[in-house]
Amino acid sequence: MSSASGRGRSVPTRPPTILVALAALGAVFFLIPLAGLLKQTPWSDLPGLLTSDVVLDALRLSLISSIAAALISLIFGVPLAWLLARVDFPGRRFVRAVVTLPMVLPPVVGGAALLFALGRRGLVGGPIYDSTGFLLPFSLWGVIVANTFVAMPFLVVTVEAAFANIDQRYEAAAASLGASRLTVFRRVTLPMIGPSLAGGLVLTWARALGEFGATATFAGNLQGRTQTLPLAVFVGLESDRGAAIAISLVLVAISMLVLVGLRDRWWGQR
Amino acid sequence: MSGLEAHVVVRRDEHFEVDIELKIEPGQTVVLLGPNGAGKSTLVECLAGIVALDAGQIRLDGVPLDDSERGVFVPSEDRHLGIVFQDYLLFDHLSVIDNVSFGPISRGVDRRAAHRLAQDWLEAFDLDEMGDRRPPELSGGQAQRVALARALAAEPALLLLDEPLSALDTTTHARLRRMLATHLDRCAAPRLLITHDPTDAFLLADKIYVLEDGKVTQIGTPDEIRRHPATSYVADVAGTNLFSGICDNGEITIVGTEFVLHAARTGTSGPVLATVHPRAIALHANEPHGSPRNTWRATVEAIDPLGDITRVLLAGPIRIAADITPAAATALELRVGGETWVAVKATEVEVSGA
Repeated sequence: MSSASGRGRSVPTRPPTILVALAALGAVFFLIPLAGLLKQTPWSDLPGLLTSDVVLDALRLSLISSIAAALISLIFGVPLAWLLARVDFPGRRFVRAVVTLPMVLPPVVGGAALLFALGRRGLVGGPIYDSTGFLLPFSLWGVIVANTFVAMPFLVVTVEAAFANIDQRYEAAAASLGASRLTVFRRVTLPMIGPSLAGGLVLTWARALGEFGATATFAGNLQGRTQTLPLAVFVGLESDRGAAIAISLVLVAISMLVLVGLRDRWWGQR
Repeated sequence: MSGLEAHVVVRRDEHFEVDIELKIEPGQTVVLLGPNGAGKSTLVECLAGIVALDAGQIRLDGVPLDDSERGVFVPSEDRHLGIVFQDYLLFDHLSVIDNVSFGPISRGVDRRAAHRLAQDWLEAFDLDEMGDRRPPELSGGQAQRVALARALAAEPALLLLDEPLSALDTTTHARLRRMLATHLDRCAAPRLLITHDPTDAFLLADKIYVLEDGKVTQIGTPDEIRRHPATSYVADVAGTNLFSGICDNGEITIVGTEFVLHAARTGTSGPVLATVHPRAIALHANEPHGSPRNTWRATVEAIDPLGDITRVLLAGPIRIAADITPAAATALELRVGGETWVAVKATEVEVSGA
């Protein structure tokens, strides 16, 4: 008798040549840029480049702004995702569309929109500037706002799916034991979506770390104030190729770490 | 008035309406027995506060929990329930002791006192050592006891058990049913057990409510239901003849008698439950010859026509109910007080662990 688990000799299979050829070309397409980057890297100068003021400033700003954006996304994105997943309110589809729009919107357009809204003469920024003198654009706060705007949708989308997919009978069980709605959320719902939340958070942080367009438009490109790693790469290509390559390597390394961290969760253990 | 008094009316759609009147005294176990789709889950959802009534009311210890006319609806978290779900729904991310203390902590007991209380419950259920484990590390029996302990630690005013035995294999099922029977008495509140398994109903119930198509079709003690089924569904599932006995090599000596039932398939020995479906019992005017291993003489105690079948209650070495066609009843000239021969094939005697 045969069974699904008992396997005999594997049957030789011959994948169609055309599929293999196209797949190989596709893979090479992704490999070549990496190879190019590594080929150009001035390995002996690397330690000095990585510790230069430009790179260290950009690294510091990038870490602060991306972590802040991830935390802000966590604080507002989780309740937003819960609301979208669980509460049937009028205009829910509209709210969901608006919240996920930055995922498909060109970041430059997002940055411009932020500028029109929060700039010195903006819809919200104008009154704030007139009464307090506080200006969001071209500051670290501006970088954080731009990062959050572009990255938070990734958290909302991931976590909303998790909220929609968990077995809600566990929440009913908790409620029957006398737990208030908030206690159920805190002690049962959140722990149940823990893995998705962690995955979404990492994805959000990685997106914020790589943010370029909205940041450049809304916060500018001032070394030591708003120049994050991607902006430093862009500037470096014009002025200091060595620094640009060093920063690129740092970003590639971080991206690889993110991938490895997410792999088991999202792609199974293959 | 203490206990549960409920009149649950929910319209699922224009063709299906659940309309159930239910009364449970404190310390009494009522079993709601019915086929899938009869409305059992709807009743549980209404009592649990997941679904609101369309009409009727639910009162627990005199307090209205749901009253459509007076606009009362107490949310689930304020109903003081203990629910044991079909697949237990233990919180996998919490340790066993945190699961059991979840109720007390939610009701405002401070953490240390709640843990002490939970530990007492764990000890009562022989789970002393399990407090630090996670639910996925438990066996089926341990998980069931944790689920029961969690429900009881909340000091419920009503204990609901929603098909607590149905996800189990036969051997575990019998063992956990025994466990449940022993532990249910720890709860002084009204107890409602939902099941589609007649054996569970007979062994655990003080009173059985039979539910068909959203309506209660019969209420009675297990004995009353077994002896006088009101509908053909009840006769079919709830009319099963059930005997406790001691099995030895296929010969089952029925407890309290010297009568021996022969069974064909039995690997077990020791205490067993033997069931014989009333349809599997043949009646004969004269002593039957040939294949049936079990034959005996019995006295007709009652004859209940139930439409397309006739239920015959028989006294004798054991009391047993047989379902025959009305034509056969006529042909055999059965009458109350008269005698008849009973024949049961050994293959029709189902045996399970007691």
